[in-house]
Amino acid sequence: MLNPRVIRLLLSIAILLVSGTVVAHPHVWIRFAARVQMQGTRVISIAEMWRFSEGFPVQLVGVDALPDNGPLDAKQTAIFREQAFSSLAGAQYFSHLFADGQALDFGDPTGFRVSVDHGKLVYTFVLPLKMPIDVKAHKVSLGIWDDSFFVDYEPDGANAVTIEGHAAATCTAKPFTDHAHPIFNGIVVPQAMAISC
Amino acid sequence: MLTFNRSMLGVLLALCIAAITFAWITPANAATSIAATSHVDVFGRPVQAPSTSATANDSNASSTTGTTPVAEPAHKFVLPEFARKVLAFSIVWQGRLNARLADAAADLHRSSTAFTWLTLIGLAFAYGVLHAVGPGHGKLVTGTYLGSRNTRVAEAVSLAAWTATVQAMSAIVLVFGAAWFAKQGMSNVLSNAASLDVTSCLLLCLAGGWTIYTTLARHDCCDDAGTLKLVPDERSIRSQSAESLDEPAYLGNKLQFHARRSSSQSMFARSKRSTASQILATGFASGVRPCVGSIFVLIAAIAAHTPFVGIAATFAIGAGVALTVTLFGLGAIGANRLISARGIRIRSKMKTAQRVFAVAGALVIVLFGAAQAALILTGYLEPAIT
Repeated sequence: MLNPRVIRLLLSIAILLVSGTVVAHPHVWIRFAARVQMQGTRVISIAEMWRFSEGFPVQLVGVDALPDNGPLDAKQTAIFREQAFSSLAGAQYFSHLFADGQALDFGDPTGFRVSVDHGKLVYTFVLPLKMPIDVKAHKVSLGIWDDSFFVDYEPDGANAVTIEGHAAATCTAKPFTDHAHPIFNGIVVPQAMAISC
Repeated sequence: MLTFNRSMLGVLLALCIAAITFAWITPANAATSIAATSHVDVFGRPVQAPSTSATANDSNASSTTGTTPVAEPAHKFVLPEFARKVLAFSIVWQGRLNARLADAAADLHRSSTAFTWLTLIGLAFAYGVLHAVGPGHGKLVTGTYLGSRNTRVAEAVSLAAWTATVQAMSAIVLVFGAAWFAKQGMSNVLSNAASLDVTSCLLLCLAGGWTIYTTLARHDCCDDAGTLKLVPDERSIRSQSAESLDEPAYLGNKLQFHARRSSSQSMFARSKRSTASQILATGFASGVRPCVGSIFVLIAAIAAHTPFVGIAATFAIGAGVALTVTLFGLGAIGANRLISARGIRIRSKMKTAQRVFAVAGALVIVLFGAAQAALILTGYLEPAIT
């Protein structure tokens, strides 16, 4: 049982298994805020704001310099959309809306804007649901995370997710740890919001 | 024996080439294996512009229920809480340091003082230490190589330092090359870094194959004279001091001593050479893929017109990485020696076992490189940029 060859083999397998699971992430940090836009008890769309950390390398997007403050012009906004936004369509813009555990599909984003606020890059956009979902009939949750954890999302303040629009007065969004959707090979368990009415 | 070894090396190389050829000709390649050549965006994701609309259309067609099960990869596996917390702790702190590092690099644009530089370099070193704590492909290779053979501490330090130096140089060449020579500017840096992941895997195949060849052909994995020389041999050598060579003795005895000494010296020199070549090959292969943290720091430093600070910070990251990988390698060596000591009862079989294990370790590296390259090139795995 304590044959050195067996122990060494086990040791190497252990190293292999542990080493293969993880890579050194994250590299991009974003603080987000989301406004869940509702009509009665139905979720219609999610209006999001992403605030990047100061060290975000905009040069990789193909923009050499940003204004000190304020919105970017149409040309720079188009560059950001093409180089650092549209590619996220396949990842549903890192937005995860679940109804009874099933992922809901978003339509094309609207109102994409880029601005600089206190030296930090800010994205704002709206993600409409393809099929509005009734919160009363389903267990609905919303989370914003990158499965690969290259990007680390954190809520921008205590009330980062709010409910807006013509929502029923009883609708609320409560934070919880989403153990059903661990990311980064099971190392990170993201935070999500349970939306109920 | 040599013929066999060459055959075995040939088989390994053929395996690697077959895996890569399969990757290129397989139909999946056409659709998804843009891995090695496509553009990678700033979020580390491959950009698949032509297929994006197709995906959108597909989802339009299939989403009458409003759900897209395929969009959400199911990761139901969660690590045990203790292991998860330990890894998450290192990741969280590494992330915080990386964020501070990126912010400090961006800060160079506003205040490029000595204090800012030193802060950046200190943060870079600390980031390097933590960056290497989380397991990754460099430590897989280093740990497997060092843990599977009798190695000296200096060899562990050399391998870690060489790997970190190659990684730093890779980032510097990539970023400065893009800044000075590339028409597209910096926008392709991450794509090129991702391509180097495949290159690294292929080079690992070659490095592992070379290690297997030199181990089998030259028996240099296990020639630790200090632990393996039999006591009677040492006594007989000690008894034959320089003066004793001039004393009268049977010619056969003297010839035997000279032959033994010259044989062991040449074997030692040969072993040192091939171990050095193994370390150079293994370190280069695993370090050629640059660290994204270094890339981001270099880009920020160039944007702030302080490229040399960026280079210094990149080498500081490398020093931190080298420190952690060295400690990891020393752990692997310690484990190896501990197991060797436990095997004292079967010492007669140890040398064979050590060689088998050394070859198995190198084989793991070859198979890891081949499997990773094949998976990336067939599109089943995205190239890792870390």
